Amino acid sequence: MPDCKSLAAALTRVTKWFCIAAAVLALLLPLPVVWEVLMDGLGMPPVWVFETTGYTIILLAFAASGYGLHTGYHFKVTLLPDKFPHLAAGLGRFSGALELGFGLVLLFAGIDQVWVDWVQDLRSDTLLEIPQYLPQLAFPIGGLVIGLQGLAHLLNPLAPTPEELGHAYRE
Amino acid sequence: MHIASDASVVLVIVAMFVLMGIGVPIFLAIGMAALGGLWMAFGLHQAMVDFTSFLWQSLNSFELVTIPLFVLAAMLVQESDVGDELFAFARVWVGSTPNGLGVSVIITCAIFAGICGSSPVTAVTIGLIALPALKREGYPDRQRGAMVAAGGTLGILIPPSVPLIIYGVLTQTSIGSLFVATTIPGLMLAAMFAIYVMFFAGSRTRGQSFSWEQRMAALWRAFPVIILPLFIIGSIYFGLITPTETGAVAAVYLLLLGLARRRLTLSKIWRAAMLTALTSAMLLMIFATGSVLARYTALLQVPQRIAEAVGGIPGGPIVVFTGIVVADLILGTFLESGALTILTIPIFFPIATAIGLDPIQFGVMIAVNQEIAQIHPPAGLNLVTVASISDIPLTRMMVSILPYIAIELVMIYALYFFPQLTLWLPSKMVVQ
Repeated sequence: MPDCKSLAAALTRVTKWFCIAAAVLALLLPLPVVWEVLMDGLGMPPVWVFETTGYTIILLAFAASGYGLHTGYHFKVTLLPDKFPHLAAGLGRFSGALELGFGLVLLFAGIDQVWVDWVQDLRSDTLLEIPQYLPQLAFPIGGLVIGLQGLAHLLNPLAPTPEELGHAYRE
Repeated sequence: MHIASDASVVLVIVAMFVLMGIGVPIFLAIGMAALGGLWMAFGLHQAMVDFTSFLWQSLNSFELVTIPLFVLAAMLVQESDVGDELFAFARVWVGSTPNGLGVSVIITCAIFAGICGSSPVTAVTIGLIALPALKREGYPDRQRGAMVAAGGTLGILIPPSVPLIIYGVLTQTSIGSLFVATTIPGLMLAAMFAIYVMFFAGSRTRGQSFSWEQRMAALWRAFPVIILPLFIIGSIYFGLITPTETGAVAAVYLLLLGLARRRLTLSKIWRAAMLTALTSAMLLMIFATGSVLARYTALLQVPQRIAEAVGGIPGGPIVVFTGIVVADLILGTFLESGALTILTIPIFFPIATAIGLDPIQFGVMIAVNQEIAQIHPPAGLNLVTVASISDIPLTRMMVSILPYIAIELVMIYALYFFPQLTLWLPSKMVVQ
């Protein structure tokens, strides 16, 4: 049976993959906007850029949020754990429990929202008429990764080392 | 039946700050507080429905695409190591002034701020290059640390500015006009910092002279980067493209420039993409949960009631404005600038408009105020950042940073008494 640390590491690997998907979206994001600038200049503005890039950033925000909790990118006030290091693990676990709770709320509320969109065949009121359940999948995805990372923090509340963070490490 | 009372609002706000205080990520603290407030007002099921619905409405905005685009541009410029080129350029052009190296740091920060919308990123990028150079020239620790921390704050004011994008979306103010409006205050602030460094904040060394040949060579090397801030402001001012489009063009330009100059490898590009995803997620999640909280307080008419109550304070608009400045500074000492904007603007904006401030003028003032918050002792983010990338203890910068804070306070009140400093340039824009 795996110990808590390796289970937490496995959960973090899952959230990291979602973050990698978000990074790919971040890298691709300028291309359609630049395309829009070029086509606009030629008098043929594309109708899809405005809507799809908006959906992209929503997916990006939710997909990267789980790993962001692990890497410390989600800004937090660390005065208390810094001053009282013996409280750090307990506070980390408490934060993990809240992350798990928030993730579950987002997951179930998101699934509910997607289900309603699917059943009612809700579409955007634009030329593209995109089924709304597609972009709103960002909610359950975000709930899943935030919840998984919360569970990982419950199992191992200690902050990762720079070596563990790799590309996500910042000065 | 669920009743939303004043007590529930107080409970929500107190709970949010308690959660922040014990180290819960800011977006989660805001989100849980907002969810709790909606739960108390409408019951759990309706709260969950409203919560996702409000999240969706707040994030589904094309203007917000500007944030990841400019974050990507900032990360690419950081990975491309253009800081040393800019520093070399500033050094040969202004290095002959008294305390020339220190002045070069401020000028480099100002140029870098014109590409990067983040104050800590500006402080880190320029600090890693400039702090060792300043040490070699004998600048005292307290002075060189404060110089980089203060120069880094220009990243918030000089466009592109992430807090101003958030402010623009929140208050429905044109982001382009906000960017253009910061040009004069940004340049004035950089000039005031440079003058202070020149006469009061250095090792009192005479500046080093450089030949015109050296100057032109440095200009040639730095030119592809220096034109970017001019392109960003110019294209918005002349109405050629929108701020969002400017962000995309800047990111693609920096990517191609980095590849052409062999400054960017696949590994560096990938690192920039990962950092962009993580940083954007942080900013957007704070924006989303903060918007839900703002809607909850708006449902209970909290901002309007505060604005009405504040309107009756004796002393007039200047006292009310000073109250906003002080409250923003206190909160800003502990909060990241994006979080500070999203938490305070729904409350402060109705008050500011009630006392007759223009939305553009107020946005720029808030940006300057947030600059102060970034360097405000005891734990301003830029001070912490400089301490973490150098051998300078945080406590050593706490006194030497005060003159820079005083300069920024002078700027805030100059903007208050002379609105044309912010409003004149946007009024001349081709497309407003």
